Amino acid sequence: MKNTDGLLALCLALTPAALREVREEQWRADLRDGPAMGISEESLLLAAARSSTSARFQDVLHRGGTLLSRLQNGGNMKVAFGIAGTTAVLAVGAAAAIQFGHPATTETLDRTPVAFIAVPGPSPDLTPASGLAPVAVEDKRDIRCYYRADLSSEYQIEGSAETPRPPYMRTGIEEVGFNAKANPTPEDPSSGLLQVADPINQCSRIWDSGDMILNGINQGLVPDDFVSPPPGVPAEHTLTEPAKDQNGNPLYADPNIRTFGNYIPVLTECVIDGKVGVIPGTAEVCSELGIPSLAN
Amino acid sequence: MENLGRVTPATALVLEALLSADGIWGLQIVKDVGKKPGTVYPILERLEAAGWVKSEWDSTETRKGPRRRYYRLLAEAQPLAREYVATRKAKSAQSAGRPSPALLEGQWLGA
Repeated sequence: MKNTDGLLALCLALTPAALREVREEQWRADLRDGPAMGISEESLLLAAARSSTSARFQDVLHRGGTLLSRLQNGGNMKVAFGIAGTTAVLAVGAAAAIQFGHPATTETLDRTPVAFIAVPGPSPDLTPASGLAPVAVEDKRDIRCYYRADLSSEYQIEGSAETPRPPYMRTGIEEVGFNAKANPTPEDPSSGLLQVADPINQCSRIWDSGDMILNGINQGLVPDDFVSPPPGVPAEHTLTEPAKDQNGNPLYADPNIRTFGNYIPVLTECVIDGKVGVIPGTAEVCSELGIPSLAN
Repeated sequence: MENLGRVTPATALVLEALLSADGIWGLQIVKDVGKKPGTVYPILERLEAAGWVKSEWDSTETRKGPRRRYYRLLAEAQPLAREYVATRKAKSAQSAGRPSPALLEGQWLGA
């Protein structure tokens, strides 16, 4: 293949430095031996492009371990978008070259799609996601309830030996009668869960239970004059006034289910990683965090 | 060793190939699985990142030039890998001749 070395160099340029040496030798060995096994050079180069794009994106995401929190800063956002945008452009270029660089070949081209990253390129006027359009989420079975308006911090609970908690608690509605042993889609991590029609109401239930308040971390969300019930004990007033969410909806359709009466902050539905994230804060919190709000 | 989360049919096929030998060349896995390299290699990289697989250079090769990369399923991952492969095979056998759950408007057929 005439341009193999050039395309390989492009893939290597995308690959993080720590992996480059290993990948180069591996890809060169595969390109040398693959055709004899009936595996085309094009398909191997596409695999290299996909691998390098994925590795670069992971590297960008994990560099310093705090990129997501850095995205809240306008200046850092420009840098992050710049890196990711460049990565995307290089990846598109590599794949395009692989796909169209050999019109004379008689082999069937590998049409495996490369996992491109749709990220805008750098812009001198870029501000933190103020113009993000709301995004719809089709699968709303797995809801994330965030402890704070912070997408990346993990929390070590005071006095607890447990591993640090992620920045959110997951919640869903289990299907009554679901038999996990006879699950027809075991590869689906949300098997047995129903679609959540009202994520704010769903997360409000957890806030009401008191499980969302982490001492030493986010109890500052609770107003000083709010009287919280003892842990695990329903407040007296919930006997006559069951807790409701911010929209005035009861937490449970069944009035016999007792609520606890813990503080429920104002919550907003955002979209992160393709899932619904319910975050403490007003309607602007999604854009402040650099993520879209949930489209209704 | 991390939980893999979602295990696709292709991942189960790769695990099956890895279970078949102590160490296996990446392109041999591609051949055995019958998928494209662009499908198989990301799975191998994911398995390695999750601590299921270790990759190493072929130490027996005598030819000059770049070395082949071999993949080995770690001993602690083998029981779970066998379970995933068995589950996938059972599901493939079960699903033949029955409607997809999606046709049943959210009601799982197997429940």
